[in-house]
Amino acid sequence: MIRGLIEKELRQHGLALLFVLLLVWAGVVVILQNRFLHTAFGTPFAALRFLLLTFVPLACLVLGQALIDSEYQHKTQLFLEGLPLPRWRMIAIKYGLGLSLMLAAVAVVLAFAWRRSLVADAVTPRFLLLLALRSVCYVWFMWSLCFAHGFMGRYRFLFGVIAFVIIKSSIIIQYLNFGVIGPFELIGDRFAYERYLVPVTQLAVTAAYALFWTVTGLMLGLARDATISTALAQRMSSREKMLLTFGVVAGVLVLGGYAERSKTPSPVLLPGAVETTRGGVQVAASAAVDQPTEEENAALDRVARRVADELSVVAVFLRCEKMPPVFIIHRRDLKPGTLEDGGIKKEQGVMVRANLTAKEFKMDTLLRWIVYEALARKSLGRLNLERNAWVLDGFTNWWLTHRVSLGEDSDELRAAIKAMPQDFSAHDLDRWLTLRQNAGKEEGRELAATGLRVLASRHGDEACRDFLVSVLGAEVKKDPRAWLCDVFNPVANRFRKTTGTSLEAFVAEWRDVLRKSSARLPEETKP
Amino acid sequence: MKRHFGKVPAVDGVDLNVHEGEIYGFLGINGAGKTTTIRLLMGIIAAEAGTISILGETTRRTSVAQKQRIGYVSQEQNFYPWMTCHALGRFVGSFYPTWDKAEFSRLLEVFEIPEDRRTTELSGGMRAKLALSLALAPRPAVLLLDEPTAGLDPVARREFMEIIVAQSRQHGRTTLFSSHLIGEVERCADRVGIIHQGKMRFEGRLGDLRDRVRRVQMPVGTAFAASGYFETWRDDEYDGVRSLALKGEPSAWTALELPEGAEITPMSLEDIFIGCVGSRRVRV
Repeated sequence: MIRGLIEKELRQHGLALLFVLLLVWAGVVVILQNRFLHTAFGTPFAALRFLLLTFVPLACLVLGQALIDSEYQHKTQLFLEGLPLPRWRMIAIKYGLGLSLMLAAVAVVLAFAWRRSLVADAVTPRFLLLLALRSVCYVWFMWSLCFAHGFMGRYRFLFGVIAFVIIKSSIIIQYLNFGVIGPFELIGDRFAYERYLVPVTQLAVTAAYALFWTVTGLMLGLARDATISTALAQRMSSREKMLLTFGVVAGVLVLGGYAERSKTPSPVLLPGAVETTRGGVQVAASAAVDQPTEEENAALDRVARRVADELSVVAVFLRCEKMPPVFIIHRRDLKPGTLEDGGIKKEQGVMVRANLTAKEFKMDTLLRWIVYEALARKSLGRLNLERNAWVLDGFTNWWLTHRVSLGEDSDELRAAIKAMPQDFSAHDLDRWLTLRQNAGKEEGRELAATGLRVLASRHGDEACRDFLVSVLGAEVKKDPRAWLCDVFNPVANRFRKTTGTSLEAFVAEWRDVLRKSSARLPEETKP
Repeated sequence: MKRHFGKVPAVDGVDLNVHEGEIYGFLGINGAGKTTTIRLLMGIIAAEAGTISILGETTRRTSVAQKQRIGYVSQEQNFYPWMTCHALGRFVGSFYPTWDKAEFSRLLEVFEIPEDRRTTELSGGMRAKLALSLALAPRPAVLLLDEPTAGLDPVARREFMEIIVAQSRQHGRTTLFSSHLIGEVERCADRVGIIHQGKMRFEGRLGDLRDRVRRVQMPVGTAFAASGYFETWRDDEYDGVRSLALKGEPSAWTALELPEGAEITPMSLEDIFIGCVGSRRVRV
């Protein structure tokens, strides 16, 4: 019975067996022509490692497809089931045959490598045993994985794609080092050289993986009278194909995007820049000219220090450990008062170009620009979202003026009154960018800044600070957690938690204050 | 026996008996549970409840030793496409201690199947005959055939069934074959079992079935209600005639009092089968 089955498998899968023979032949050739290997590694066992890493997974995959998948795909397992043969024996023979073939192939190569190494090396039995142990365990793992993979029927390609994407994205984002995972550590860099130490942990981990995949394969093949594997072997419906394609494409895009975002950007280097550091704040100022004048050098130094001082105070106020690095480029050719974005990546920091020596240059304008951009980039753009933007807008203008009291007839107050809609409510804060577009950018920002002033005066400075810390100072993750945090803990929630008042009630207060201020303005200056 | 697939009861308490040496016709429409029952009998799938008794040995699931005494022909012939008929015989023969190589060759010759031809090069009829040769070569005591003539043309079907009957009669082989073709069952079977929605609806000799199930016809509007001794299988109205298919013991039929204008007529097996598994009431 067993002999008949083995004969059938050997005759049926001649091509797959040819591939295994090719594997052996390739191993022998690599060992014989090892001039390069000898120079590079100094031992023929390096060829065995090369074989284990490349050909063995491929050969296991081919054998798994041939022995398992082809049987179920052509439904010939139904023919076998009609014969007086227990199902477990049919599967066990396939498993045993595949494993034996792979082990035999690797044993031949190992024997050849051993013979070859005898010429120049003293190979101890312990070393040979270690090599054999590592190889056997690794081959067992690889074959078990491919054996289980063979039962996955129409999902085996999907499994392959997922595995590829995971491996690829892990390599890109360096999140997972495959070299430290049991089976791969077992045939790692030390494979061809370690003569004494038995890698007990790696052997145990690899054996555990092998056992897991063996049990998974057997369960898929035997559970519920093989109805699972038979169902899996059926062709995909067009709807299933469409859904899976969509899922794979979406998965690849999401993972690709995530991997891209997870990459650490290269730091920005400004040769000859004036660099100032205050705690977690780094500011570098440089002139985009061949030979800066003394006045320009002085301006660079002054601006760098002032920006660093201000940003470090902002960081302390918002309880941030670190702020994005700031790069200031002085350009003589820029129009006075112009601030130009340097166009570096969010993760790299903030870069601004300005004519620092122009008479019209205003430090406050530069500070406001840098504070705004630094906080926006620190939040990875989440503070630029419509529902969050009013806090950043308000803070930028409020920060520079909150230490001085504004008069009842100040320009800031008039701008805020002008920007406030008739029926100003919390709903307008959710549509902030629209409101700001209708009212004007500066007016909109002043309206938001007035809100923070009202918050500080009515609910206390600490409540105002706590609220700003919760929105502007919070660490933002570089993954979907940032979005989840925004959805489940929106600004309105944070406002209620930190001030004890609902945002709706506060906006009503804010509106009343502005209406009263508006009423007190002289008729001729009313906006 | 009971067996579910998900929430669907494929076999829901089937109880059938096939006597030694008889040919048993297993009738049922598509999806009635015939294939599942035969797969349960072959031990290919396990029953959730119930026992199987084959050749005096009772088990929960048919053992390998029992399977070696059963010849089985499945509905679809999933042979290895690369094998020739000879190679297939050699492969299958390695699983049976009683395999008769000479008998296999003789059967191939009788069925005019070339030994050196690959299984993919055979017609549907030849594949069915090859499957039968493989099932008969170990000289089994029991033959289980799951719709063996499905997909064959009428000539091949008739020829195939004649071979089965001749083989079974000649060797006194107990044979169970499933089919949804009434003519085939009527011609070949000693006894029949009708399965519907996973349950046995009838089991017995064809004569008994005809004695028990009869048609009562009367003009529409005639007052008639079958007594408790009868089971109403159908109640149709067509062209002003009410037609009832009733099942009852022969003694109940003798005692039945009919209203004026009503008459009892015998039914063909096809009518009985449709009465048993078709919709209960049709009005035209």
